[in-house]
Amino acid sequence: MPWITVNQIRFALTAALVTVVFHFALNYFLTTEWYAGVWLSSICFFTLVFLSGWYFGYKDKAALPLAIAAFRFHLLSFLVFGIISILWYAFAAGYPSSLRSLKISLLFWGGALLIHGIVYLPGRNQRIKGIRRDDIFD
Amino acid sequence: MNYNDDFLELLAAWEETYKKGQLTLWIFLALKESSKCVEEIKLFVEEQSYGAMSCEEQSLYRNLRKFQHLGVVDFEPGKGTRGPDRKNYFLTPIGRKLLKTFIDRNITIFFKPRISKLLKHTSYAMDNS
Repeated sequence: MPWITVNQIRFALTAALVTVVFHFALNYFLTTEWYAGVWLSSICFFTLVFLSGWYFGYKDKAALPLAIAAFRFHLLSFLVFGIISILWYAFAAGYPSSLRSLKISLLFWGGALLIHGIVYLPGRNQRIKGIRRDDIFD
Repeated sequence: MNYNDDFLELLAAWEETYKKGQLTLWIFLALKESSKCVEEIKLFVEEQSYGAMSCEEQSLYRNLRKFQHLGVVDFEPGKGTRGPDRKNYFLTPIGRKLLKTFIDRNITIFFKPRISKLLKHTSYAMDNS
Protein backbone atom coordinates (compact mmCIF):
# COMPACT_ATOMS: atom_id res chain seq x y z
CA MET A 1 0.00 0.00 0.00
CA PRO A 2 1.49 3.38 -0.92
CA TRP A 3 2.39 5.47 2.13
CA ILE A 4 0.93 8.56 0.48
CA THR A 5 -0.59 9.04 -2.97
CA VAL A 6 -0.13 11.89 -5.43
CA ASN A 7 -3.70 13.06 -4.81
CA GLN A 8 -3.11 13.07 -1.06
CA ILE A 9 0.01 15.22 -1.56
CA ARG A 10 -2.01 17.59 -3.76
CA PHE A 11 -4.72 17.72 -1.12
CA ALA A 12 -2.17 18.42 1.65
CA LEU A 13 -0.73 21.31 -0.36
CA THR A 14 -4.22 22.71 -1.03
CA ALA A 15 -5.15 22.34 2.64
CA ALA A 16 -1.90 24.09 3.62
CA LEU A 17 -2.69 27.01 1.32
CA VAL A 18 -6.27 27.27 2.64
CA THR A 19 -4.99 27.11 6.23
CA VAL A 20 -2.49 29.94 5.63
CA VAL A 21 -5.18 32.11 4.01
CA PHE A 22 -7.51 31.24 6.90
CA HIS A 23 -4.95 32.41 9.46
CA PHE A 24 -4.41 35.68 7.59
CA ALA A 25 -8.19 36.21 7.51
CA LEU A 26 -8.54 35.26 11.18
CA ASN A 27 -5.73 37.63 12.10
CA TYR A 28 -7.41 40.47 10.20
CA PHE A 29 -10.92 39.90 11.59
CA LEU A 30 -9.72 39.52 15.18
CA THR A 31 -7.62 42.67 14.92
CA THR A 32 -10.54 44.64 13.51
CA GLU A 33 -12.89 42.93 16.01
CA TRP A 34 -15.33 41.95 13.28
CA TYR A 35 -16.50 38.65 14.78
CA ALA A 36 -18.96 37.78 12.03
CA GLY A 37 -15.88 37.67 9.78
CA VAL A 38 -14.25 35.19 12.16
CA TRP A 39 -17.24 32.87 11.81
CA LEU A 40 -17.38 33.40 8.07
CA SER A 41 -13.70 32.63 7.58
CA SER A 42 -14.06 29.49 9.74
CA ILE A 43 -17.00 28.29 7.67
CA CYS A 44 -15.10 29.06 4.44
CA PHE A 45 -12.05 27.18 5.76
CA PHE A 46 -14.12 24.11 6.62
CA THR A 47 -16.01 24.19 3.29
CA LEU A 48 -12.88 24.62 1.15
CA VAL A 49 -10.92 21.88 2.93
CA PHE A 50 -13.93 19.56 2.82
CA LEU A 51 -14.56 20.18 -0.90
CA SER A 52 -10.90 19.79 -1.86
CA GLY A 53 -10.78 16.58 0.20
CA TRP A 54 -13.89 15.39 -1.64
CA TYR A 55 -12.38 16.24 -5.02
CA PHE A 56 -8.96 14.67 -4.48
CA GLY A 57 -10.50 11.78 -2.58
CA TYR A 58 -12.79 11.03 -5.52
CA LYS A 59 -9.79 11.02 -7.87
CA ASP A 60 -7.86 8.86 -5.44
CA LYS A 61 -10.65 6.31 -5.21
CA ALA A 62 -10.95 6.15 -8.99
CA ALA A 63 -7.24 5.27 -9.12
CA LEU A 64 -7.29 2.76 -6.25
CA PRO A 65 -10.25 2.27 -3.88
CA LEU A 66 -8.36 1.99 -0.59
CA ALA A 67 -10.70 1.59 2.37
CA ILE A 68 -8.68 3.88 4.60
CA ALA A 69 -8.39 6.70 2.03
CA ALA A 70 -11.12 8.87 3.58
CA PHE A 71 -9.51 8.55 6.99
CA ARG A 72 -6.11 9.46 5.54
CA PHE A 73 -7.58 12.62 4.00
CA HIS A 74 -9.13 13.53 7.34
CA LEU A 75 -5.86 12.84 9.16
CA LEU A 76 -3.92 14.89 6.61
CA SER A 77 -6.19 17.92 7.00
CA PHE A 78 -5.87 17.64 10.80
CA LEU A 79 -2.07 17.42 10.64
CA VAL A 80 -1.72 20.24 8.11
CA PHE A 81 -3.99 22.51 10.11
CA GLY A 82 -2.32 21.58 13.41
CA ILE A 83 1.26 22.01 12.22
CA ILE A 84 0.63 25.31 10.39
CA SER A 85 -1.37 26.71 13.31
CA ILE A 86 1.30 25.82 15.87
CA LEU A 87 4.00 27.37 13.65
CA TRP A 88 1.80 30.43 13.21
CA TYR A 89 1.53 30.90 16.97
CA ALA A 90 5.24 30.33 17.37
CA PHE A 91 6.42 32.76 14.72
CA ALA A 92 3.65 35.30 14.05
CA ALA A 93 4.28 38.04 16.58
CA GLY A 94 1.21 39.69 18.08
CA TYR A 95 -1.26 37.10 16.80
CA PRO A 96 -4.53 38.09 18.44
CA SER A 97 -6.05 34.59 18.92
CA SER A 98 -5.15 32.67 22.07
CA LEU A 99 -3.22 29.41 22.17
CA ARG A 100 -5.99 28.00 24.37
CA SER A 101 -8.54 28.30 21.55
CA LEU A 102 -6.18 26.42 19.24
CA LYS A 103 -5.72 23.66 21.82
CA ILE A 104 -9.51 23.35 22.19
CA SER A 105 -9.97 23.24 18.40
CA LEU A 106 -7.34 20.51 18.05
CA LEU A 107 -8.80 18.57 20.95
CA PHE A 108 -12.30 18.52 19.44
CA TRP A 109 -11.00 17.82 15.96
CA GLY A 110 -8.75 15.06 17.33
CA GLY A 111 -11.77 13.51 19.05
CA ALA A 112 -13.73 13.60 15.79
CA LEU A 113 -10.77 12.01 14.01
CA LEU A 114 -10.62 9.26 16.61
CA ILE A 115 -14.33 8.56 16.20
CA HIS A 116 -13.88 8.51 12.43
CA GLY A 117 -11.09 5.98 12.83
CA ILE A 118 -13.04 3.75 15.20
CA VAL A 119 -16.45 3.89 13.56
CA TYR A 120 -15.73 4.04 9.86
CA LEU A 121 -12.53 2.09 9.33
CA PRO A 122 -13.39 -1.45 8.22
CA GLY A 123 -11.86 -4.23 10.31
CA ARG A 124 -8.77 -6.07 9.10
CA ASN A 125 -10.87 -9.11 8.17
CA GLN A 126 -13.06 -6.92 5.95
CA ARG A 127 -10.22 -5.76 3.72
CA ILE A 128 -7.37 -7.27 1.73
CA LYS A 129 -4.25 -5.13 1.26
CA GLY A 130 -6.23 -2.06 2.22
CA ILE A 131 -9.14 -2.64 -0.20
CA ARG A 132 -12.60 -3.57 1.04
CA ARG A 133 -13.46 -7.16 0.10
CA ASP A 134 -16.67 -5.92 -1.56
CA ASP A 135 -14.73 -3.50 -3.76
CA ILE A 136 -12.23 -6.01 -5.14
CA PHE A 137 -14.36 -7.92 -7.63
CA ASP A 138 -17.17 -5.39 -8.13
CA MET B 1 -46.98 -4.84 -20.51
CA ASN B 2 -47.17 -8.05 -22.54
CA TYR B 3 -45.52 -11.43 -22.11
CA ASN B 4 -42.57 -10.52 -24.32
CA ASP B 5 -41.87 -7.28 -22.43
CA ASP B 6 -41.96 -9.19 -19.14
CA PHE B 7 -39.60 -11.78 -20.53
CA LEU B 8 -37.10 -9.23 -21.82
CA GLU B 9 -37.19 -7.25 -18.61
CA LEU B 10 -36.64 -10.35 -16.49
CA LEU B 11 -33.80 -11.46 -18.75
CA ALA B 12 -32.15 -8.06 -18.54
CA ALA B 13 -32.45 -8.02 -14.73
CA TRP B 14 -30.99 -11.53 -14.42
CA GLU B 15 -28.15 -10.79 -16.81
CA GLU B 16 -27.37 -7.55 -15.02
CA THR B 17 -26.91 -9.44 -11.75
CA TYR B 18 -25.17 -12.38 -13.41
CA LYS B 19 -22.61 -10.22 -15.18
CA LYS B 20 -21.57 -8.41 -12.04
CA GLY B 21 -18.22 -9.79 -11.04
CA GLN B 22 -17.82 -11.68 -14.33
CA LEU B 23 -15.47 -9.07 -15.75
CA THR B 24 -12.71 -10.35 -13.48
CA LEU B 25 -13.04 -13.84 -14.91
CA TRP B 26 -12.89 -12.52 -18.46
CA ILE B 27 -9.86 -10.34 -17.71
CA PHE B 28 -8.06 -13.25 -16.10
CA LEU B 29 -8.92 -15.55 -19.03
CA ALA B 30 -7.58 -12.97 -21.46
CA LEU B 31 -4.34 -12.74 -19.52
CA LYS B 32 -4.08 -16.51 -19.09
CA GLU B 33 -4.00 -16.82 -22.87
CA SER B 34 -1.11 -14.36 -23.16
CA SER B 35 0.07 -11.02 -21.82
CA LYS B 36 -2.05 -8.24 -23.28
CA CYS B 37 -2.45 -4.50 -23.26
CA VAL B 38 -5.76 -2.93 -22.27
CA GLU B 39 -7.04 -2.61 -25.86
CA GLU B 40 -6.31 -6.30 -26.46
CA ILE B 41 -8.04 -7.33 -23.23
CA LYS B 42 -11.11 -5.31 -24.24
CA LEU B 43 -11.13 -6.93 -27.67
CA PHE B 44 -10.72 -10.41 -26.19
CA VAL B 45 -13.59 -9.92 -23.73
CA GLU B 46 -15.97 -8.54 -26.32
CA GLU B 47 -15.11 -11.05 -29.04
CA GLN B 48 -14.97 -14.16 -26.91
CA SER B 49 -18.19 -13.37 -25.08
CA TYR B 50 -19.90 -12.67 -28.44
CA GLY B 51 -20.62 -9.16 -27.23
CA ALA B 52 -22.43 -10.33 -24.08
CA MET B 53 -19.73 -8.65 -22.00
CA SER B 54 -18.63 -5.14 -22.77
CA CYS B 55 -16.26 -2.96 -20.83
CA GLU B 56 -14.89 0.54 -20.96
CA GLU B 57 -11.13 0.97 -21.08
CA GLN B 58 -11.32 3.17 -17.97
CA SER B 59 -13.04 0.37 -16.11
CA LEU B 60 -10.36 -2.08 -17.25
CA TYR B 61 -7.56 0.25 -16.14
CA ARG B 62 -9.23 0.69 -12.76
CA ASN B 63 -9.56 -3.07 -12.28
CA LEU B 64 -6.02 -3.77 -13.47
CA ARG B 65 -4.59 -1.18 -11.07
CA LYS B 66 -6.51 -2.84 -8.26
CA PHE B 67 -5.34 -6.33 -9.25
CA GLN B 68 -1.77 -5.09 -9.56
CA HIS B 69 -1.99 -3.60 -6.07
CA LEU B 70 -3.27 -6.98 -4.82
CA GLY B 71 -0.40 -8.79 -6.55
CA VAL B 72 -2.46 -10.95 -8.90
CA VAL B 73 -1.58 -9.01 -12.05
CA ASP B 74 1.56 -7.18 -13.10
CA PHE B 75 2.74 -5.45 -16.23
CA GLU B 76 5.85 -4.93 -18.27
CA PRO B 77 6.42 -2.01 -20.62
CA GLY B 78 6.06 -2.88 -24.27
CA LYS B 79 6.37 -1.05 -27.54
CA GLY B 80 3.11 0.42 -28.78
CA THR B 81 2.25 0.01 -32.43
CA ARG B 82 1.14 3.65 -32.46
CA GLY B 83 1.62 6.35 -29.90
CA PRO B 84 3.40 5.91 -26.56
CA ASP B 85 4.70 2.70 -24.99
CA ARG B 86 2.00 0.43 -23.71
CA LYS B 87 1.69 -1.71 -20.63
CA ASN B 88 1.50 -5.45 -21.22
CA TYR B 89 -0.39 -7.01 -18.35
CA PHE B 90 0.09 -10.60 -17.24
CA LEU B 91 -1.04 -12.90 -14.43
CA THR B 92 1.42 -13.40 -11.61
CA PRO B 93 1.86 -16.92 -10.15
CA ILE B 94 -0.69 -16.11 -7.41
CA GLY B 95 -3.05 -14.74 -10.08
CA ARG B 96 -2.76 -17.98 -12.06
CA LYS B 97 -3.37 -20.04 -8.94
CA LEU B 98 -6.36 -17.87 -8.05
CA LEU B 99 -7.88 -18.32 -11.49
CA LYS B 100 -7.28 -22.08 -11.52
CA THR B 101 -8.80 -22.55 -8.08
CA PHE B 102 -11.77 -20.34 -8.93
CA ILE B 103 -12.42 -22.29 -12.14
CA ASP B 104 -12.06 -25.63 -10.37
CA ARG B 105 -14.55 -24.61 -7.70
CA ASN B 106 -17.05 -22.57 -9.69
CA ILE B 107 -16.85 -23.25 -13.41
CA THR B 108 -15.97 -26.91 -13.95
CA ILE B 109 -19.13 -27.97 -12.11
CA PHE B 110 -20.98 -26.99 -15.28
CA PHE B 111 -18.99 -29.61 -17.20
CA LYS B 112 -20.40 -32.50 -15.13
CA PRO B 113 -22.30 -34.75 -17.56
CA ARG B 114 -25.66 -34.30 -15.84
CA ILE B 115 -25.42 -30.48 -15.74
CA SER B 116 -23.82 -30.27 -19.15
CA LYS B 117 -26.71 -32.32 -20.56
CA LEU B 118 -29.23 -30.02 -18.92
CA LEU B 119 -27.50 -26.94 -20.32
CA LYS B 120 -27.48 -28.46 -23.81
CA HIS B 121 -31.17 -29.42 -23.58
CA THR B 122 -32.10 -25.94 -22.32
CA SER B 123 -30.21 -24.37 -25.19
CA TYR B 124 -31.84 -26.79 -27.70
CA ALA B 125 -35.32 -26.13 -26.29
CA MET B 126 -34.79 -22.37 -26.47
CA ASP B 127 -33.53 -22.57 -30.05
CA ASN B 128 -36.71 -24.38 -31.05
CA SER B 129 -39.19 -22.33 -29.04
